[in-house]
Parts: sequence; structure tokens; C-alpha cells
Amino acid sequence: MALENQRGLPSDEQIIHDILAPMQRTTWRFWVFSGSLALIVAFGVFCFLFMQIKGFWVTGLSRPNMWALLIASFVFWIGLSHSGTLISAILRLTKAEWRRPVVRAAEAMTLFTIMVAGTFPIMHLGRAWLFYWLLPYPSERMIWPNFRSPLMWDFMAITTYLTGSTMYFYLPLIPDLATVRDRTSGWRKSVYTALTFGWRGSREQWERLERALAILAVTILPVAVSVHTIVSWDFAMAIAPPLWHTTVFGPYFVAGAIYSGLALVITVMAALRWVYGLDTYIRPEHFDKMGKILLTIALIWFYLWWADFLTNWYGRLPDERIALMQYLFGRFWPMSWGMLLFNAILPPICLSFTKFRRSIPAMIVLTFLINVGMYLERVLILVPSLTYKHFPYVWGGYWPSWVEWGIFFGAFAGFTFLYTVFSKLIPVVSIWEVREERLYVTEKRVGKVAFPAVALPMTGQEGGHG
Amino acid sequence: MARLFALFPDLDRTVEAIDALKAQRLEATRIDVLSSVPIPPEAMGLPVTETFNQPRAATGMGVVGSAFGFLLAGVTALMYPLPTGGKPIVAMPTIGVVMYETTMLFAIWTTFFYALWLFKSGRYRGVPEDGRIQGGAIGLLLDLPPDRSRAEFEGALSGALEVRPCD
Repeated sequence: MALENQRGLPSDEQIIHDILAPMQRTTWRFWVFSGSLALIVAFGVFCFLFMQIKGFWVTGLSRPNMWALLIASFVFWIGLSHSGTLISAILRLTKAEWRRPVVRAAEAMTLFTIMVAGTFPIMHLGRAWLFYWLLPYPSERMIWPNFRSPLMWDFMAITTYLTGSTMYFYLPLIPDLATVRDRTSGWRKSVYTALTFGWRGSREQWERLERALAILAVTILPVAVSVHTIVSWDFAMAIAPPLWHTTVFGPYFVAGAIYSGLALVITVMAALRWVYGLDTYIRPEHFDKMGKILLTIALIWFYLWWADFLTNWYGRLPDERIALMQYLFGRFWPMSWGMLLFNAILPPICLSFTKFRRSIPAMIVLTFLINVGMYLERVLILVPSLTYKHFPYVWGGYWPSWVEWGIFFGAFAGFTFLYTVFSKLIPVVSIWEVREERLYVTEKRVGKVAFPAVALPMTGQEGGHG
Repeated sequence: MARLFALFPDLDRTVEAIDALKAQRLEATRIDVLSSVPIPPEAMGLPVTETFNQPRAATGMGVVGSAFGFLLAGVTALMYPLPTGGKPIVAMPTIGVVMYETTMLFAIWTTFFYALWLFKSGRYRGVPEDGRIQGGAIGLLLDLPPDRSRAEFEGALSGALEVRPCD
């Protein structure tokens, strides 16, 4: 009824109806899909328990490959978690109007991917039930965590990022939870009332929310960068395996993380649009803009990969050269060339064309391939370097066992399951931010063409919308 | 303190009512707006609130977090020394990484919990939830001066869908 706009966006009621619709109707397809995912997750959990009971010999790990699929998966999932909060924070801080239908999906993606990522180091501990030994507390063992170790920094950084991402996800959710609260009854209303912390939408509450979001956006950005930098230091600060001890690893990992995460955000956006019919809100223009960012990141990632490769290749240190040649032309060539095709060759070519960026099926295929390539890249960072360690008599080989495959697929199913359940409990698109767009975005006619125009506060009158 | 709640169908009528209330010498600080989207205070002719301590609280607790990180990674390392490969027990560059994370963690916690506390502690406490506000209507909550009656302001609220006392 109230906040009218001139651009022809749906009415307030229509927006609420469309976005809350997935929460209000559940078809048999949902139960079949989520049930299938739950079965795969259950198999992954079984594989993990089997590994705990039998020991690591049921995996493909053996000297010298003591880090492989589990750690590659950890790096991959942490990388995926990178972009959601990062892109949301950047778009919020720069007040990019087009961000509105995208941010919730991105923030939720971060939350669920980091939850999945956090399980891998615990699984890799071997004796997972002793994970609490990582916590610093006085005990009869007189053992204290070694804070000089990058693995300990990982623990600190992931904890900070998980906490920060959860809070950054939750705060802007509160106004939407209030909308759900006002449209439910019974026990659901009680639950949503508790979750809204007394939200009424008062002027003070909005101002405090926007101030808090700005602070969180500013703080979460460097945390996001630190997380993946520290993950890279797990490798770069270990001097043993060839190709790891490199100063470019920090930014290279960060760029790779943003790259794969951004690709997943686009895949998730397409899935939400298709499954829940959110065509009015998640539009081709969003894919176009995200595609442009993806193109930039693809080029940055390739630049850093090349800088790393060229330095190692030019240096011609004997053991690094052997590992590098195996990486590119030896037994790992299908993976490395596949990775380069999916990450360095196809994306810049495809994403240079507006028509491609605005084609949602094409973007789904490309972003899926980018993440296949990024997973290969994670494996390639680990396995060739460990397989061809300094001394030929320890050279080995690695192939994942069925247990590792089970955990691998369980992780993907786990993420999808969490996201599917989330879409039934929480609005997948930010209602209040889409409605706010109606206040500020209008159409300006120039000759015969109407362009979207954004109203911004005049200089000296800042301090309004977010 | 007597309070009055009025519900308006749109922003224009809300702004008209705010102007009328101010013309009747009701201070702007006594007027609160309840809406489903953030509306800049200037758009309603209301002053921007400048009294929030959120950035200061986050910064202050960030400093506390930094000190905590130093204690955790530096001081406790001396209490439980772990010699590895001739490296120093306390090395500032490595402590710096831990301090960085704890600084951010404390700042994030503070921002989040302080925001929730501020949400809960506003003057709208006791105002019943009205689903029409989330539906797009705009509410005005007035704190009436003790020496003035409700009737004085009801004329200014003539464009409202509903006016009711809210005590």
C-alpha cells in the first residue's frame, strides 16, 4: 500500500508474496530431493565414521602423500565461502543498487560452505574426537597449542570468519524475519518473534541496523582476506615440498577463492531463480554484472597463476622442475590442462560477450566448469608437490579410496541440503532490500529510451539508505 | 509518559502529519517512525540521530581483543613453552596474526550483540506488533509532553488509517 515507485516493480504485497512463497508451499519434489541429499550425506557420515574406526589406511593416503583429497576439499570449500560475504560487503559498502536480490543468497552460501569446510580439518585430524585439544586450556597434559603454527592460525581465522559471517548474515535478516513473524501463527510465530529481538522497524532500529551492517562489512572484508591467506600459509610456510614455498601464495589463494566463490554465487542465483520462479527479482542484468566481476577475477587469478608458474619454471631448481614438469606434462597433465581450460581459457572468452553473460543456462554451465577447474587446482597444489618430494626414493602416487569419495560427495550433498532446508525457513531474497529499491530506483526517459535511475542523497544530506 | 500511535497508508501522508505535528510545537525527538524499509530521516524532516556509540564500542572492544590475542599467543606461550627447531618461544610476527584475528573477532561480536541490545532497548518497547507496517504502512509513535493532551494532536493525524493510545 505505502511506498510506491515509478519503475513498475511489483507492489509491496506482491514482493512479500513472491519471496515468501517457497516457505509456504512444499511439494513432493522438495521431499524427494532433500531426502536424496540426506541419504548421500548419511553415506558421507558413514564413510567418516568408518575411517575413524578403521584408521587412515582405508583412504588412499600413504607416504609421501599424507595430504590429499580431504585437505584439497578443505581448501576448496573455504575458498567457496570466501565470495559470499565478500561480495555482499563490497556491494553494500559501495551502495550498488543491483546488489539487493543477490546479497542474501551470497551470504547464506558463505555460511553453509564454511560449515562444510570446517568439518574437513577435524576429519583430517585422524582422531577427530580429540579436536578440542586445539583449544587453549590448562590441562593435565601440560600441552599448549602452538600459536606459531599456521594450522593454529587457521583455527583462529576460521572461527572468526564463521562467527562474523553468521552475524553478518543474521543482522539484515531480522527485518525479514519480522515480516514472516507478522504472517505466521502458533508456535512458528513464537519462534520468529524470538528471532527478531523485538524488531518493530523504528527509525532508531533502522539507523542502528545500517550502522552495524556498515561496521560488520568493514571488519569482515579483511577477515575474509586473512582466512584464505592463512590457508595458503599452511603450504607456503612448510619448506619441505617443492612449489609450495612461494610468497605469491597468499594473494593467489585469495584470488582463487573469490573466483570459485563468485562462480558458486552465480550458480546458486540461477538455481533459486529456476526452482522458486524468482525471475522478477533475479534478472539477467544481475548475471551480466556478476559476470563482469567474474571476468575481472578470472584475469587476476590467471595473472597470479602465471606469476607463480613463471617464477618456478625460470628458477629451474631441480626438484621444483621435476614437480612442475609432472604437473604440466607428466601424469597430471589431464588435470592441469583441464584446469587451465576451465579457469583460464574458457571464462575470459565466454564472459567477454554480453549475450553470454545474460544467458542464464550458459552461465550455469560456465560457473559449474569453473568450480570443477578450481577443485582440480586445489588437488594440483597438493598432490604433485607431495608425490615428487625432494628424494626419488620417496616418490609415490595417490588415488582416492571409496571412503574419500564418499566424504567428497557427502560434502556437496551436505551443502545443498543445508541450502534447501534454509530456503524453507528463511526468505532467500532480502525482502526489505528489494522493497527499498522501489524507493530509490526509478526510470528516467532520455528521448525514446527509459533508463533505470537511482536517487541518491544530495551532498551534505548523507546518512540515509543503505 | 503518554504515547500515541498512528498508522498511515503512505509516506506522503506521514510526512504531512510530521509537518503538522511540528507546526503544533511537538519536538522532532518525540516523533518516531515505524516502517518496513529504512527511510532517511531527512526525507521525513526529522533530525539524524548522532548519538550512537556503535563504532566506538567496536573499536574499543577491538583493542581489548588485540590485548587478548597478545595474552593468548604471547604470554601463555611463555607459561607453556614449546621449543621447536630453535625458534623463539615468543615471536612477534606470529603473535601479530593471532592478535589480528582476535581484534576482529571482538569487534564483530561487539557490533552484533550491541546492535541486538539496542534493538531491544528502544523506546518502542510496549508497542504492539502491527502486521500492516511490514505490509507497507507507516506508523508514527509520539511521546506526548506531560503538559499536553492527546486531543491537541489528533487533528494533525487526520490522514491516518488509525490512531490509538499506546501506553
